[in-house]
Amino acid sequence: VRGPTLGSREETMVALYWYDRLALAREDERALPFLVDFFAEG
Amino acid sequence: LGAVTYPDDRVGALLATSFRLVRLDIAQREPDTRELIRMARPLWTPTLLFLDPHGAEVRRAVGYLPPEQLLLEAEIALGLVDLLHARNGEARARFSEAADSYPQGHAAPEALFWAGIAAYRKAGRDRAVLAREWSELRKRYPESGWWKRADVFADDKSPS
Repeated sequence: VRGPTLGSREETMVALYWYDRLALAREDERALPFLVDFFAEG
Repeated sequence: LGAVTYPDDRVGALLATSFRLVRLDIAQREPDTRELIRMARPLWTPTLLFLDPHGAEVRRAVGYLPPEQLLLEAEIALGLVDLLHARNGEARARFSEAADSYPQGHAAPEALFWAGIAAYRKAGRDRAVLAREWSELRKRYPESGWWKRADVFADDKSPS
């Protein structure tokens, strides 16, 4: 995920990606931080 | 945020280069999404959660943010990540630059507050450095709540 994503599709994939990246980040002190945007449609 | 703030070129550039962005619709019912929502417990939308690379929360912003306010929030979050990982010089530079770039931003006084702490740590916890840095906070935002927090350490009290 690079930059903003649009809409709410593939949320599960995004969440899994986040978990994966967190696991990888533990190995890399200079890994990028996360910005998690909780939003509601409508 | 999706209609105005994210399409802003400056916002897009900063988020694309400095963060891994995840957007979660709180109405989604997939188990993984629900687990993240249970963990973060957003009280309102939008809620922006800034996490360091290990997943530690460093900042949270609730409610709509126009582009410049989000840029300032994001810069402060990046500075806090630097501070958390003892990159004090980088943190100080980022906080100062953020305050200079967005002087009207609601979080600009906070940026100067943290700039002082980063400089203090970089200088080996030199109280004179902290006083000098925070004098700028007092000068620019004398009515700010952040200056009032800094004022506790003025004169004869030492910060912890």
